[in-house]
Amino acid sequence: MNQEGMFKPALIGGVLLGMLSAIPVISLFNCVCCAWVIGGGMLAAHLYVRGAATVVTLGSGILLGLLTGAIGAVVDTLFTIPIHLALRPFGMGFAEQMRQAIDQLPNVPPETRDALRSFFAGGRGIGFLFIILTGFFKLVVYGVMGMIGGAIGVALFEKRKPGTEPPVYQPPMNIPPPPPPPPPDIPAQP
Amino acid sequence: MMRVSRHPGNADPIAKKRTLHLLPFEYNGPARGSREPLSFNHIAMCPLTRCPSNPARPLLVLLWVALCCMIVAAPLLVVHFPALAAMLYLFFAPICHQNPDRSFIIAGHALAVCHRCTGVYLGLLIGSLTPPLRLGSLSTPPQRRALVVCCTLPLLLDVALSSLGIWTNNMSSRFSTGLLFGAMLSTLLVSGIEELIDRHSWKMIRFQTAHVKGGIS
Repeated sequence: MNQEGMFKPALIGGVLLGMLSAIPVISLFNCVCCAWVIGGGMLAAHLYVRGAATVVTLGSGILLGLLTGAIGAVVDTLFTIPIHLALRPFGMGFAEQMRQAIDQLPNVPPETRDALRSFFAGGRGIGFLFIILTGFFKLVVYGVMGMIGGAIGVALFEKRKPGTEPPVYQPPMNIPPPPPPPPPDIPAQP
Repeated sequence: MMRVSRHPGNADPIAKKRTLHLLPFEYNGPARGSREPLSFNHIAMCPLTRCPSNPARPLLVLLWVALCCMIVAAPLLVVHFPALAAMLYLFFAPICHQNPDRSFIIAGHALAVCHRCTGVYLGLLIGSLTPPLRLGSLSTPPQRRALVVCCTLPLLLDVALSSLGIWTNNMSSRFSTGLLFGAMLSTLLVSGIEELIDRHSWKMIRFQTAHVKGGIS
């Protein structure tokens, strides 16, 4: 398993899925089974399979997807902060979006809804605290969904059969030791 | 704890070397009180399948059981613990649309996720609970690809045809396509994570052997 070669595809997939998941309207696509995250994992797997000299296994794909999801969660959290700061003057900051999400929750009694709404109206600190907490939540969810994407990507894009990879050069094992150096000329004793 | 055969003939060589602390089911090491030294040839065996056990499957089962319990608990907690129920609904809000018209109803309230997502999570659980089949269904890339395509295509068709207005999906179609998709995902995840753990435990054994025997391996 070439773990060094995993980082570049994971970085590309993770940054892409993180950016797409942070943009307000486009991020709604994540409501379809975390589609951006699974897509990012699949993209990373495709890039890794294309550049790998040996057959990529499911385990490698899952590890790659986990890495992609983790990078995506970090990028998503880092992008979310400036985006919400920029949207705050237009009434679309984090607290406002949370209030909208609470209003759309099904089956929640009005008093609970009011309590949650007043909690999220607690000012800027609450918003940042929740962005950080959401970041940890995303780290777990994006990791699991990234693993799923990596596994699907390897299953779809890896077409080589195990055992068909090119032979790897191995140096000979039993090299005979070099001959001992000739003894130095000893001058004859007078 | 049941004691099983110490040298199973059908165990693969990597699993034979698995470390003791990674074993979830059974441990067939030396009997209590015996003077036989502990070695890495003591293999854990699953009592059901009689093959070397791997913690990937039980760990995934635990994860999916926890998720399924959270999904079902949300509507049940609405009456007595509304804040907790709201937190559970908020937990699943970023990954599901939670439309009550497209969700199962329990005790008069909708589940925390929709029909399709309920099917996916239940499929993940059922796929993890299924004992490992030694049929080679995932042994070659074409078979693996065919499995992914066959289990994903119904779900995609159900969504696409409904979006185009050609077909009107219903509760059964949403749930069953999600179930199929989840079971396929579970098969892939269990195979991949088992492989990862096998490789990792192999490295760990090499390290520990080097530590115990003074750098032999």
